[in-house]
Amino acid sequence: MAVDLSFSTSKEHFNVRSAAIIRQHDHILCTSFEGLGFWFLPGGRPKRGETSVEGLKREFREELNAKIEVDAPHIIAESFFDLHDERYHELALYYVAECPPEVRFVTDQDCHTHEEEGRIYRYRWIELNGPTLKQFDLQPRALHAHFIDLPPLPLHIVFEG
Amino acid sequence: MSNLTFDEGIERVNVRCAGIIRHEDHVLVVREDDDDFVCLPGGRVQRGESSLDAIHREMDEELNARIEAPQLRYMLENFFWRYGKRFHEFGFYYEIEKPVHVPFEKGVCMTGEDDGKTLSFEWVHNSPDALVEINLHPFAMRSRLVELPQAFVHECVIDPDY
Repeated sequence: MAVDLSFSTSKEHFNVRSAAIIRQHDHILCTSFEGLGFWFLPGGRPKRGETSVEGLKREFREELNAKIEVDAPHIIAESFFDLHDERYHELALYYVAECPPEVRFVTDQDCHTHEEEGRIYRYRWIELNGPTLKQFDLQPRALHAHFIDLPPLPLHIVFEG
Repeated sequence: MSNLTFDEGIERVNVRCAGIIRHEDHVLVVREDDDDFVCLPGGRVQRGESSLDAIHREMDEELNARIEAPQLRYMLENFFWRYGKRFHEFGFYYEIEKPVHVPFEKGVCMTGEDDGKTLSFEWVHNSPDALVEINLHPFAMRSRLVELPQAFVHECVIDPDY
């Protein structure tokens, strides 16, 4: 059985994540769920034996019922952070993608919701400027500037937080 | 610290970093014990460690080299078979300047030790033919070392027999 690329010991987690940077009309598509307290870019974990590209396409099919086209990642981030008193080490690949036609563009309300494992995931277009991204606490913060102005060349970045 | 290597049955997920060290049309490769294949020098990334920290550590451990400004050239998601295991590997390949103390000479130019295994380093002509001949693993790197990209290139490479 295929298993997510998520490997935990009692206190430490290593995750691989594949996410999409989808920008439209100066907004960026983000997701969150009740009680999380921050937002992140849509995507998910590839499974064993699955490329990050296939993983991202699968997540979009499953979560947004949408078909996404991606080429190469724009940002590869190795990050280290604490969440709920546990230590995380994440390898994340961020792909720039066009907005799939299935995803509505509406602001000031959720554009989509999806239920998975008892959680309701909300999707929302967040205005792409520093103060608004900060207000929604889009994670990771270290990448806000790069989401606003995409790096001209593929970026490899290592950060804490 | 433990390595980012996760086995389940014959499936292995692995995060690795390696150095691309080129000199006068040659590239440095390493053989473990008497394996019938060679790799680019490097090793596994550990929990809590970035690939960048890992390449510094590995070059220090394997080649006793303090390297400067390694440049990421490839990040491969590579799917292949080795040692009877099905590998799903994330490989970070960094271009590194030749450490001055590593001799440029024919045959085994340096030896080292890692985890009880003997490492033998040698320079191979940097051409796909010579790298096929010496059986460089992973296959994906045989044709990607002559010209290196300016920034880094990410590719998913699935070996035909995976």
